[in-house]
Amino acid sequence: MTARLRLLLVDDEVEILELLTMAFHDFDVETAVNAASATELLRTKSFDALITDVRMPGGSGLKLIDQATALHPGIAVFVMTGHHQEPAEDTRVARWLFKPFSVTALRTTVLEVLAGRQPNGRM
Amino acid sequence: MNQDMLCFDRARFERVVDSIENMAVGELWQEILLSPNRDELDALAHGVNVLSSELRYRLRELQGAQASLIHAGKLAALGEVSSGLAHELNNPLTIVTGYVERVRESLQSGRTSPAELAELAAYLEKSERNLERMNVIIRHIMEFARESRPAKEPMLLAEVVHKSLILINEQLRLKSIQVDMDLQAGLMAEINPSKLEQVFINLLSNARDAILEAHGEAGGRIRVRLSAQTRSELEVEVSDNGIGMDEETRSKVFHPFFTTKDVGRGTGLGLSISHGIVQDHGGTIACVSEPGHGSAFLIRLPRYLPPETAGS
Repeated sequence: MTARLRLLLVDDEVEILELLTMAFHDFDVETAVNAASATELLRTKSFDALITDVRMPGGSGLKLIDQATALHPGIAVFVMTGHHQEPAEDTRVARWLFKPFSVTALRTTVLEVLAGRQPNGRM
Repeated sequence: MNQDMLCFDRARFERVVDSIENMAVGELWQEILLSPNRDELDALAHGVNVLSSELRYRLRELQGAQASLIHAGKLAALGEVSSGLAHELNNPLTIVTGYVERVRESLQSGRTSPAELAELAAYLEKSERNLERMNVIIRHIMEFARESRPAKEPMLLAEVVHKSLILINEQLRLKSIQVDMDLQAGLMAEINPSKLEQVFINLLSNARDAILEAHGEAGGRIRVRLSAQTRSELEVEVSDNGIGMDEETRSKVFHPFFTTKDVGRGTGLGLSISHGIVQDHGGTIACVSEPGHGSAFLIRLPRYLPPETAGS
């Protein structure tokens, strides 16, 4: 039996978390509504991927990426943003996802990136 | 004969003097009937008539320019809150897109059992709720940005405060800024609601910037208090626990083009326009502040008492 991929979803919008949880029903999904609880989860569990919003009360998603990549160097990071400014060159981020995005397309992107990282495939 | 002539001239002369004095106190519409004599007094009266007409023309020009300035200030205020608005629209749009995708996938794959259809109905209901959320914001942006009618109407002040928060709430929430409201119910004033809203948005934007400067991402607190000062006057206080101002800055906040923000960030017109709007409503606006302890803006407006209570 292959292990399920572990995914951390972070957004202050609960309905976005619900939709993404449904889309990644075949993953082990944890959710957090702010950077502080996400940090807590990152400290206690390990994850293959992080999908996070940038602008949230109580701390930016970009700081969360610092913590995620420090704690789990191999983690694939996806950033959701509502701002269409050119994202800063950030090699830690696998893909920038501009809101509004298609959840189906988001899932495809995440699967592609994770498959690329794990050529032997754990899916 | 000479005596009669003098009396007659004095009456005409006094009419000219009256007209000039009236103009001096703001009654610009003056028209003196000229006599058939076409004498020096008529020349003077004619001069006063021309002056009156010129002053009225200039006043209209000035009022037009002032209205444009207020409108430009309103659009600038909207610009100040636009990043929060984009966030607030993009989130429900993402949610609606997601639910619509799920509904389509379900229908395409023929999942139509009663339980599955009930689930689809729930998705559609959630989509509707999010569309309504967007609708409230978009409608409000349009109402706010529209060139407002000059008319004033009796309005509940608490309602105007709540409406101004629709546009800026998301931005404050994202910056972890808590808004405490203490609004006495039922207080009314005769106002132009969209202009008063513009004043509140200016004050809230400034409070937000002052808090960010003082506490950064840790956020802070804004307090909005509405209370009756006297039977004929009400007060709105917008205070923050931001960076505060020294006396020199505080004394200039209502001056046009005065800003402490970086070039390109602030126009320096928000508070000066707000001052003009409050004055136009027969009110006053004042500021108390202390460096490191935040600022408070106090607006006082004449109260409107509904006819049934006015005489009681």
